[in-house]
Amino acid sequence: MKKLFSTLLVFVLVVGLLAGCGNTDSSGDVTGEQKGSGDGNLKVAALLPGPVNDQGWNATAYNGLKLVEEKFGAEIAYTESVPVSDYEETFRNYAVAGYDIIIGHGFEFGDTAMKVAPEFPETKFIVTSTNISQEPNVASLNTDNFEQGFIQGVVAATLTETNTVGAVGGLEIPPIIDSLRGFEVGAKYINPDINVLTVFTGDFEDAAKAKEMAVALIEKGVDILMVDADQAGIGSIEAAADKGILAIGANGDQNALAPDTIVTSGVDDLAMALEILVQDILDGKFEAKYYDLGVAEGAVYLAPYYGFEDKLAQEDKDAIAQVIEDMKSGKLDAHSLDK
Amino acid sequence: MLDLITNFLASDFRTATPILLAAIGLVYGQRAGIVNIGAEGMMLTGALAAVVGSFWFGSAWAGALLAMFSALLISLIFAYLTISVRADQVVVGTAINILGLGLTTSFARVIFGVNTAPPKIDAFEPIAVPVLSKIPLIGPVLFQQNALVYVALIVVPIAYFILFKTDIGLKIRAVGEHPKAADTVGINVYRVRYGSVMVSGLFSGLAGAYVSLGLLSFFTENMVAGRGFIALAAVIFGKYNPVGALGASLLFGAGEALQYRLQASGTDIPFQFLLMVPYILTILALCGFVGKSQAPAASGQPYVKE
Amino acid sequence: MAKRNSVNVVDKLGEGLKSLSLPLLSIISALILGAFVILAMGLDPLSAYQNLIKGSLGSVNAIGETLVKTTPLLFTGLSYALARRCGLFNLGAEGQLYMGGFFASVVGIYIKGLPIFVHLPLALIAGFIGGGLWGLLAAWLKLKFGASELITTIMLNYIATHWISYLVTGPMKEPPGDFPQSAQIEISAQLPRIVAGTRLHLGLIVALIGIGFFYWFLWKTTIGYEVRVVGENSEAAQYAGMNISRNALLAMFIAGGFAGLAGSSEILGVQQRLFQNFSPNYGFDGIAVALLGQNTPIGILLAGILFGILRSGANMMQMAAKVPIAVIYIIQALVIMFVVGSNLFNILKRKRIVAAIAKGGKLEC
Repeated sequence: MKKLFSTLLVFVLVVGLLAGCGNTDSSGDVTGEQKGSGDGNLKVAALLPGPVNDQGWNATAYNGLKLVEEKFGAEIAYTESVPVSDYEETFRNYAVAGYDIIIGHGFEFGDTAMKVAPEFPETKFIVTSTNISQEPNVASLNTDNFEQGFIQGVVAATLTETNTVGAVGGLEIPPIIDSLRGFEVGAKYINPDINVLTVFTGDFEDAAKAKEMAVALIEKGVDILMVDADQAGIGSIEAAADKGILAIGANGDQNALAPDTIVTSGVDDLAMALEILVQDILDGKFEAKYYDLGVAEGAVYLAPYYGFEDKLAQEDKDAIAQVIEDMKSGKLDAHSLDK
Repeated sequence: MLDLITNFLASDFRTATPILLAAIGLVYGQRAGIVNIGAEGMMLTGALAAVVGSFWFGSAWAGALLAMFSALLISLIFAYLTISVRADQVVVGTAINILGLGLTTSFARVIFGVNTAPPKIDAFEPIAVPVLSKIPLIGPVLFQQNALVYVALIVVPIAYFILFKTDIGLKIRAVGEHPKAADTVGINVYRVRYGSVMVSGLFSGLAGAYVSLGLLSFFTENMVAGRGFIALAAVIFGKYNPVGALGASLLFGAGEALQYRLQASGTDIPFQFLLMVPYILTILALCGFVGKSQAPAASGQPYVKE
Repeated sequence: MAKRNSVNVVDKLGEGLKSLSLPLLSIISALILGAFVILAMGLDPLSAYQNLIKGSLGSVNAIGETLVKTTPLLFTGLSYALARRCGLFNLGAEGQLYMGGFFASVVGIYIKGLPIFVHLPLALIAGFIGGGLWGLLAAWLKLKFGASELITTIMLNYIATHWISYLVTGPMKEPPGDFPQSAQIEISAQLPRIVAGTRLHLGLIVALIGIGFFYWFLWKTTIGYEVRVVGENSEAAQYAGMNISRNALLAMFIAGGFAGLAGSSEILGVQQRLFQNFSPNYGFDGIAVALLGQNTPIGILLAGILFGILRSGANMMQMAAKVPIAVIYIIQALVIMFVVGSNLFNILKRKRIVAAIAKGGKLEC
């Protein structure tokens, strides 16, 4: 018992000591609380659900931040792989540190943003891939993943020779579900009788599993494969390369991952969407609303064909371009095709 | 139909190999009385080291060697703490896993940078064995795999032979069953245990190399995704025997391969239940479809020389 | 005799200080090694550690956050420790945590109209039972089929996480159903906040009661005594007529229950919904907490706080000093290794004693 007591005593001392250091340390900063925007330097931060180097979802946010840094001279910061239990704390920390715009990259940050926002009226909270908003300072910014999947499906259905196309998704979450659903609707828009096979790997980490699942799809006759599983998806793309079929990238332009395999990518250009939104904020035109940016707004588009430019039939390219043109002009509402 | 079976079995062998490689090494550790929960961390270390090695030296084999070497270093830490310092093996193993995740994530970024496409590196490509690969069914399954699959399959009988037919094997098993008795007949318990742990390190590293360079050609964070634990299960299910581990690994591989194909066929079963299949299979296997699996008597216990 | 006793107090205090000095040294050594890793990444370790402290202890809110993270770690630490005391390895706290969160959510969401003093305890008990049953399953598989709990508990973790993933994308998805999350927990089942301006919730108090229970159960009850005897020497226990199976089942049920409470307190106190992957590996960290705490109540409390500090400080470290969270993993692993490594000193001491005996010298301990 005495041992325990002395143990406790020492611990209290140590913690006190450390806390003491912490206090002297932070006292300097505390005065600047909630005033960060005063020095004229725009500060933008993002909370990411995964690692920044995933070549997918989180990388798009990273690129967005980089673009904002470049364009507006903003000071940027991010926290990656934020666990659910830390959402609130992380939002609050950035707000206290004087960040003007805080982005929660994913629907899952919605609840927390709305909860924290009222305490920091000067700070704008942006949540992606959802449709929430809350006066005066919470808006949602959605790059339309359904439309992204739709144009990917259009490409796949146009190029397939086996009449079977497939898609590999990571975790079953809205951006992925939407893009896989859009893929199916888009493919069927071109050819109602097409065979669309979709699988989920259940995570974003196990690239080997994503590869084997892609192989299973290819063995089922899939000859055009759409991949939307972030870093795990690189495995699926490799499967396509090994088996000599074409793949369609997702989120960003993924051509560089496998130039001979990735015919194009369905890009949801968060960077561009973010740029539009930040410009709005700087112009004082910010509204607490749902910013839904899709093909028509230029935030969702098809990446270049690169090496495939000359290999694809002109009529195929024209047919794809026509669908996108129709979406831009409003003649075609992809969402209306989804029952 | 034949195609279907061939594809299924080929996928089974690919999926089983990392588990098998790690399990062969773990059999040695287990037989000497060491429970190595840290295989996952060692594999992850191997997975990164393999990619780095191939990136630096331009050869997948160099990568595999670096993987084995790195995992060997980690296994020495494990051996020192569990054998010399007599720390709880489960706790040290857990620490090794956390360390592996932290080290690989940090160093992958230092070496390859953040947000760059993975560099093109030399990986293990499938090698078709002349003549044999033309045999229907068996050919594509067994003789059109990459070099590490062949290595794994060749090592199984060798590992079995050493463990059960040689003096060294006898010593290892004696140390695992009754260290005190082994000590009295002049076997150096510590040395045997160190050696066994190092063997498991080497093979865990190779298993990691297989994940990053055999199955794929790049590294992603936490890419081993639980295969180290499955390997541990394969050891127990395989009755602490390399040949048994082969059977167990193939069974787990079959569970995975089945799961992939069921999903690809568009079944209505929620995919989460399919993802559970390999784990449920593991538990069922441990529950003794193949009879009781008896752990070495001194399993998990540090040895104190009097 | 009396004189000797008074000396003993001082001695014991010194001994206590000594027993703590090793863990402290371990922590410091781990931080120093971690600094080199941070340096290797081209970042500033000093600023990293300043932010680590600032983020975990620098303000009332920071301390609150630290304790919010400490809460589940205490439960999972207790979970591992209790099983360990009975000679079992519970590597399944993560899965038990999820099953606890699941049971607690079902009670918290679908039972309506109860007053808080009925609903909240009910939800917590459900969480305890959920985790407990998952732990019990592993113990039963061991006793009935001889399946090693070392492996089955890990397999059960994966099954539990996929099960939660199924639930929140399927039957428990919040209507109208765009997002993979359950509906909100009823207010009457939420753990209320206990310090204004922080997220610190009643779960911490429940965890402290848990620690009290752990102590009382193991050291003050007959059955707890049996559990410990079984853990220390199962042959002796059998010889003494103790029912080993029953003790193992009970220990794993309570151990699972503790982990289940970790999940329930996260859901009922912090997140107020069921999500997939809601635990950032609290289950496995519990092993480290139990180890650092040497499976003792106070030890677990202190170790839980330490890991809480590391976890909550890591966020600020990442934010302000741009140090990736992976570095904290390295530091955690090093802390564990140095702590177990410091056992070497005891071994060396014993060697010296043995040598002294061999020489025929006198011994004091």
